Amino acid sequence: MTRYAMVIDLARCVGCDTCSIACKAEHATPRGMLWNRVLKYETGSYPHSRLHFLPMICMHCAEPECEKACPTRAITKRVDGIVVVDNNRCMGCRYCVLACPYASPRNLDKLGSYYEDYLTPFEKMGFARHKAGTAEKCDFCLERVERGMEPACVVSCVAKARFFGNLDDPGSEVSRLIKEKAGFVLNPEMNTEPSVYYLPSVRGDR
Amino acid sequence: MNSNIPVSMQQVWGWRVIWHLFLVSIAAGAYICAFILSLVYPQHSRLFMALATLAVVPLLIIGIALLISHLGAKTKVIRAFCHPNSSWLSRGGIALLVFLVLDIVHGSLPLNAPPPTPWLPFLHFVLGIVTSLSALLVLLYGGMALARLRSFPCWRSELLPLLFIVSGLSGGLMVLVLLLLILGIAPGLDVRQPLILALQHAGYVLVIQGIVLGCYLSWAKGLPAARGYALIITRGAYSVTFWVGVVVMGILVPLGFGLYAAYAQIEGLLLIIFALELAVFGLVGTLLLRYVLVSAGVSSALSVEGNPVTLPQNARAPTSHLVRYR
Repeated sequence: MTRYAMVIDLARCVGCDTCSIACKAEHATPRGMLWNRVLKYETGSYPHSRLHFLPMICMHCAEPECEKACPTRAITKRVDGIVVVDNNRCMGCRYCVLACPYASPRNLDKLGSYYEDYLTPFEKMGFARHKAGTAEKCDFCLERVERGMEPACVVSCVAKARFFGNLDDPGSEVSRLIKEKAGFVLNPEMNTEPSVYYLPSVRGDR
Repeated sequence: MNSNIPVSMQQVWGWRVIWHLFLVSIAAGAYICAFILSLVYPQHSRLFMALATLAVVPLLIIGIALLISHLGAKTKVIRAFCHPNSSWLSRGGIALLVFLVLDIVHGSLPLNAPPPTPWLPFLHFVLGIVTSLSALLVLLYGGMALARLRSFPCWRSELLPLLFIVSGLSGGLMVLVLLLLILGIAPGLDVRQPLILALQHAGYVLVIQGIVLGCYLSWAKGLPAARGYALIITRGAYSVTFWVGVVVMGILVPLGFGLYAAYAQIEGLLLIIFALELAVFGLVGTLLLRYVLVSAGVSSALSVEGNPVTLPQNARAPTSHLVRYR
């Protein structure tokens, strides 16, 4: 079996948001819509404070709360573990937005251009894939993965902080990294079994 | 919870959903209360049931229209009925439709057929029970839709659906009081006795509502993940709305008016004024209760290597969200 997963090394992430922009370019997401975000938070207090970065995408949970909440069956989990939204089925109730513990699905209010009243040729082409009023989220770059490529955020990461692979394969790089570098998931108490793992920001192997 | 950590209140469900929850709850509450009152006081059964069946249709239609207007892709609403096994929104949609249809059927059933028909009262009774069950599901669904969300620990309590049910019932009684007052304008129609009964029972339900609300907030205050929510409601951004609108205007004032009017044997204009104030204040309180409970919802913070990170709930939130650390 295949269960696609991603490992994000917090020790390597520099918070440059290249992944966010690569995601935007890959999926031509309209203005205001980000499938990949980099949250920033601070620990400690001056002069010993430290800025941390937390890249957030859809966690592609094994037990997705958004799928259970969706009243129209627009959100489904594929056999390879990727959770996808069918915007032809979504009615835009935003219940999935509330249900997700990681706030991954977002409702696309309108197909907003980056220019006041003008759509660039890129936007015209890309916006055909989006529907205003429906929920959207990261799909692990499904089209790329199906062609044997890695997601756009993985290949574009300047710090090589992202790894993509099969979690069910014990010999894969993601499985090895999780095992060797104590990978963890966010809020395991939610029991959603996310497929996105993080490696600690402070380790002895840097 | 450390009060220095900012919390993120939900901004996903706004006034349309709140009004929807309010209108469908008071419609369902009005029907259930009228049905129970008609069983306990058979001499007023026709009046209570006629008022309830009449009130339910416009309230439900407006409530459903508001929910549909909230949807981003309104034409897909028919799909909302296809996932009842796990989604409470789907169950709620089905319950709303069944309740509306049953209420119309019940309302259009003749009270007396020209040749005496012994089965007609029995049919009314059976239909009343089935419709009341669908109404109960409508009352339940709003609270359950919130209570099953793991991402909002502040709502994950069995007390929340119970609160929605009790406040829906009290709101339903206020609707009946309001309709009795309107009906009382008609000459030759004496509604004093049914009005007193409705006021009396509204008082009892308000007492239960106050107790359930108190229990729910003390539960939230005791739970570390939900404490911020309880503090926002009782001391924070929603404190004025809560204490003035929900507690004083929505519970204490109607309770005082209702019980005084019911037990002090007042009549005439004074009774009308008291009943009107109870109904209006009570309905405003029922609406504000939903507004406060839904708007102040606080999602669980992410825990990253022991550090709490607040998730921005707004779809238009900045890409980076800086939070303070204790």
